[in-house]
Amino acid sequence: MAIDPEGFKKYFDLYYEAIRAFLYYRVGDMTLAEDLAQEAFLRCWEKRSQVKEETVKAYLYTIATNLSINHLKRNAVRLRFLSKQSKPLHFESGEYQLELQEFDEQLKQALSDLPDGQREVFLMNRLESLRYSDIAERLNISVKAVEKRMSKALEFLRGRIKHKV
Amino acid sequence: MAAEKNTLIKALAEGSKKPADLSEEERNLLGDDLAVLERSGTLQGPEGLRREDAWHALQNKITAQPEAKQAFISSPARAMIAALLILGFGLGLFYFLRPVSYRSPLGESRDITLPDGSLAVLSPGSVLSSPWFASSKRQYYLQGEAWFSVKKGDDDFVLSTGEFDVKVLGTRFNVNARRGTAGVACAEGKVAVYAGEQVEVLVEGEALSSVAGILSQPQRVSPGTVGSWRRGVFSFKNATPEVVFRELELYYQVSIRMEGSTSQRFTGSFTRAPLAEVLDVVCLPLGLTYTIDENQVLISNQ
Repeated sequence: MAIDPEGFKKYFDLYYEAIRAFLYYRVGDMTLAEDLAQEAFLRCWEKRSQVKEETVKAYLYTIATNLSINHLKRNAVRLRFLSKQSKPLHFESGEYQLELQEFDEQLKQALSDLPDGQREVFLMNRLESLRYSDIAERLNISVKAVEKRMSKALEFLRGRIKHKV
Repeated sequence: MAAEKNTLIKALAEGSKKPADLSEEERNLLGDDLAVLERSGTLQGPEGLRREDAWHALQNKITAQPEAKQAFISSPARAMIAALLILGFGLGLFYFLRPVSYRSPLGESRDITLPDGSLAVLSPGSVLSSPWFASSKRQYYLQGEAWFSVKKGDDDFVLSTGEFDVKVLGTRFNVNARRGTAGVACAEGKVAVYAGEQVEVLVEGEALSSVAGILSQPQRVSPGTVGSWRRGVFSFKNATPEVVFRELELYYQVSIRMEGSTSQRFTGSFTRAPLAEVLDVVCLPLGLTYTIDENQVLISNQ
């Protein structure tokens, strides 16, 4: 089954933000990620008569991966993160808050330095709460491979963060 | 051991197990990985375009693409094409003669050099357009906020907003046409503001505000602060929280909803920083709290 224009909108709504986030994790530049995500959907639209419904998701990620390859090595990825919640109103001691902040700073830094491959997988799970099986399907890898990248990423991050909480 | 740990990590990463449910033994097995998992789960990436805006941008690219080639053209189809060409020519003429309109996207300001050489800087989410039938080429309509540096010319430079008109010869000034913060500030030269029967003349370092089409008396301002939004400085004087949040919506491409109300006003200025920091600056003194969920911000007065 090919994708009709209505179906295309549905897939756009379902995956646009996820594809853009994925590209952001890879290239570390939101404007570039935005452009590449547009390009990925444009290519998907052009190939809509050949793309099957079951594989749209993986197809989009494949295009996104390919599009970002040229941008990977040029400069080191420098990601920016925000906190999901506003800061809690100091229930914890001030000292603990400070330590937490210090930890988060080192964590953010270390996340940018994660090797390609591990970085996307780790952030897809932690920032977007995607299940291992879902990540595996999107990236066309096995669940075991996701598991391995997660554990490698944790090992890397653990080694990088000097500050303990 | 490693397999066991990976299973545990997966359960935590997928949320099927909560950190509070971990046994002492499991905590020991995880070690520092637990803190890394927990803290990384409180992060999110920076905000980007709204999905609808991205969809429109994509639609534009799709329609801009050449259509698939036609294999065969029948003669009724030819008549149709001729008709379309005539229609297209008409539309082209219409397009050629249409009034110009400049838009700035949300989240970004835009510099425009007008045909007469004057400069306009549109703040995010603003529109500057020329009317269909203008008596002079230097006549524009503004929605939103913009800073102008107008070249001296023979004709008056006339700018209309919903509430007032501004007439100048050659000068630098800022016009805000957003309801609740509408006003004009003059950085250099002289500006005349018209609202119904009322006329006020501003000189360098003077500003006035407009409420429902009634102009206030000119007040002194520092010429250096006129149009300071161009340098990423937000400045508010005795503004309702609604006015402040509406401005932030335009710059940060978020939708800000307020639960409950407050009679407090905000006065102060701050520079553009990550949204959470800016919200801290605004919310703390007003006794408000906020939560950010993707592109949605919820403000409450608890």
